[in-house]
Amino acid sequence: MTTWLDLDERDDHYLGLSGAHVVATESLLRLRDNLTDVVEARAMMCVHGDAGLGKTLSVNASLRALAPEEVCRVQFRARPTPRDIRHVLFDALGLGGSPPARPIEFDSLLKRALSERPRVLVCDEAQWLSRECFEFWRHLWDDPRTDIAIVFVGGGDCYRVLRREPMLSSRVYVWQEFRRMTLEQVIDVIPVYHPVWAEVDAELIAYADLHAAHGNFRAWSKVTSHVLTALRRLERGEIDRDVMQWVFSRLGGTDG
Amino acid sequence: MADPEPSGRVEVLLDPSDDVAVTAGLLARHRPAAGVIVVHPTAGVSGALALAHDVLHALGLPAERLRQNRLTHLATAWRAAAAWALADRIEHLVILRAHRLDRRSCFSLLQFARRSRIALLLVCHTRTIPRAMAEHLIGVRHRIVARVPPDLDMPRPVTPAPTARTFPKLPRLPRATMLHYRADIYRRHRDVFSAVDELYGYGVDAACGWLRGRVPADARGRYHADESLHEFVTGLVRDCPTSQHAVAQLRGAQAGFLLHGYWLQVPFTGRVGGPGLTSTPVTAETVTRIRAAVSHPVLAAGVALALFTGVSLTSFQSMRGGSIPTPCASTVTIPIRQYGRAPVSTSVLFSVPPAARPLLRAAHTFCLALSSDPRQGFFAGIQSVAHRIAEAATWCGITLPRTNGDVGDVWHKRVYWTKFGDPLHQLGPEHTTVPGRSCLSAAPVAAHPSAVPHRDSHVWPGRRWTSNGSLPEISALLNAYIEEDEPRLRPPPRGKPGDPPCPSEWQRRHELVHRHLAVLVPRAGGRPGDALTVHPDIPFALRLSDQPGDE
Repeated sequence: MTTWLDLDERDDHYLGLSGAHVVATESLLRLRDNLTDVVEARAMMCVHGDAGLGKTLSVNASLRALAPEEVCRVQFRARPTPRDIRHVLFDALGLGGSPPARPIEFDSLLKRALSERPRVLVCDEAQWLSRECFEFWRHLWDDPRTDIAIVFVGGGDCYRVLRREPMLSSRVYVWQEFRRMTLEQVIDVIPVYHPVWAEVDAELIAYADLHAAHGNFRAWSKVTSHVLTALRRLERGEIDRDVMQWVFSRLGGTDG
Repeated sequence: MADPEPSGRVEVLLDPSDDVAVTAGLLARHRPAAGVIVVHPTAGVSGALALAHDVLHALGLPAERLRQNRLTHLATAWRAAAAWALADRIEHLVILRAHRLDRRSCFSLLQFARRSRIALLLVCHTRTIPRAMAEHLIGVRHRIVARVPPDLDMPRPVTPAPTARTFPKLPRLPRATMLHYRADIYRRHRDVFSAVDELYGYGVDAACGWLRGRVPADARGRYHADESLHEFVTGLVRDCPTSQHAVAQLRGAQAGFLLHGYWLQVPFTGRVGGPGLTSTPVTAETVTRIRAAVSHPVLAAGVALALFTGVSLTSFQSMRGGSIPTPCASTVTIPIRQYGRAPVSTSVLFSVPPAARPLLRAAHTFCLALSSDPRQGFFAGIQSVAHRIAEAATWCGITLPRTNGDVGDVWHKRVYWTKFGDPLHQLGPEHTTVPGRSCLSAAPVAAHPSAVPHRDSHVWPGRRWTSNGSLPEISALLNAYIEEDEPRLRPPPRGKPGDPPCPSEWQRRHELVHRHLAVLVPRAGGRPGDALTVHPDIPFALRLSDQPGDE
């Protein structure tokens, strides 16, 4: 249900796509600047946007470069409680022994650990958190002993959920929205994203984006994975419209 | 309407925007030493018991071992919080996120603030006072404020702790008798003599200061063993790291008493224990360690008691609420319990080290909150007191001292003082010429080698003691000593011719006394025979000479 993630670089990419690169898109570059400021200020940040736009990948890749030893990533896939967050953090921080039974004792332990050295706590899928959970994050962050920056990452209505909490509104230092890539951005980025697109005509890339990917990085990852399969199955050496048709048939895309 | 006095004031700060600056600003004002505590309630939990634990934690007490500290009961937890708050003289309590408190928590909190006489600031991040809180504020004088009250920025000044005395390391030293102690140290431990003499002089000065203004024993032979004497002697040695240091200071105090015409009897014979001998000093650092591990006020006081009294832990079972007679907790009395029987009326008083007083105050308040009857057990509600105190000490990482018995075996139980003779000193401010000293003779005679140690020349012959002279005043004191303390050493009455000779036992003791108290020296002026004169160790003990006798 809730896990803490110990990710390496390959896991950043959807489906663990082999050969994929992290591309320095405008969003990623801006995120890296924002994270630099947030980490330095031990502030809070919210990275939001629709699913599949590369938020998590960008945050992970940026923090790997900025503060590789200081990051604790936690992720929730259902509506967690503060108790769940405590236990996830207990594991993520590598604290020994049994978790304390009482919340006050638990928090004392967590705060002590979070005061030992600077840390960046990344809370993914933050749209699932309740007010009680945000109250808990706020409690940790407000404590003068802890030395933490918190990055909330979320899709869907993450922005709305966080914005409606006054305690977070006044504490979140940077809000960054991830949006779909424009066609121009797609044409620039995709050939760098994976070698299979390196020599492909821009018109074909635009064709794939129009009918399947729609500027969404996760969709492009899926398309790329199917393209690699198609080239192998159809014994083709390069991507053409036939290959794309084969891919669309798997994705549900159509040719106009 | 005039501003209410801080004590008992209730204010509600409304901050609907939940501004981070408000929270951060209030957390920055958390200064328990200045009487201000800011409670940051645990997130995700509700209830009055959780809030009580949060208050205890804000008071600097540990969040761990709440069950072992017996603080998982609602009333007990709030009683402990009130006890600590009063002992620490907390004047302001700020509760953050107060809009999240439930009804029971609001009720308990207001009761706590009233009992502790604390000014309460409730910080609500809402536009209006939450209903649960408003219901309990009906009938309570309170006001709504829009900003932090200004007196939170003017807390009580923090009084820096006095600099702790430093003690030199000392080897095992002879205890000797008071009259020869200083001389024995001089002869056998010359390398540490100046360090020991510093302690000795401290004792002399302490005695002179204690005797100043005190109603003296009014007749020779009256013995005084009152509580003020017990407080004095235990207070003198409570900071001593070892018995060597304690004995040095006590011997000095005895010398101070003798200089003022009193004999202070300090028995070190037999298996005795107690402050200075089997105790451990309680410093500010010790108290910090106790408070970091023990949140129950009575258990915390128990650990401190075990350290500075140096008696067995079972001695504390008979303590009562009235064992701490004064609000400032400067002394504690422990009843002497006869095993298997009810405590007898005799009790022993101990001076409480300043660092430990807040712990005893907190314990006393905790006790009184349960019942105002001073006969109520001090450790009421705690089973196996000795075991619990020992357990609490292990939480603190503190090793309790090895004791020599219970409170009935403490050395100062048998201390007394008695009028002996005329003083060599006259007490008065005009005699205090050495800074920080109560009497001139508190400083060694070597500090002013040619000066007469006492100003009133009609009392002092005006000359230093020499082997050919005698000190009539000291001789008088010694005669009084012999009469009072060794009546068997008086010469037997002149017998009639034919009466049996003097008992050899008397003769043996007589020689013994003479060897210790007096010496035979050649008569002055070439006259034949020897004269009895004061043993040179004695003026040396009184710091009236700079050389003792030979071994």
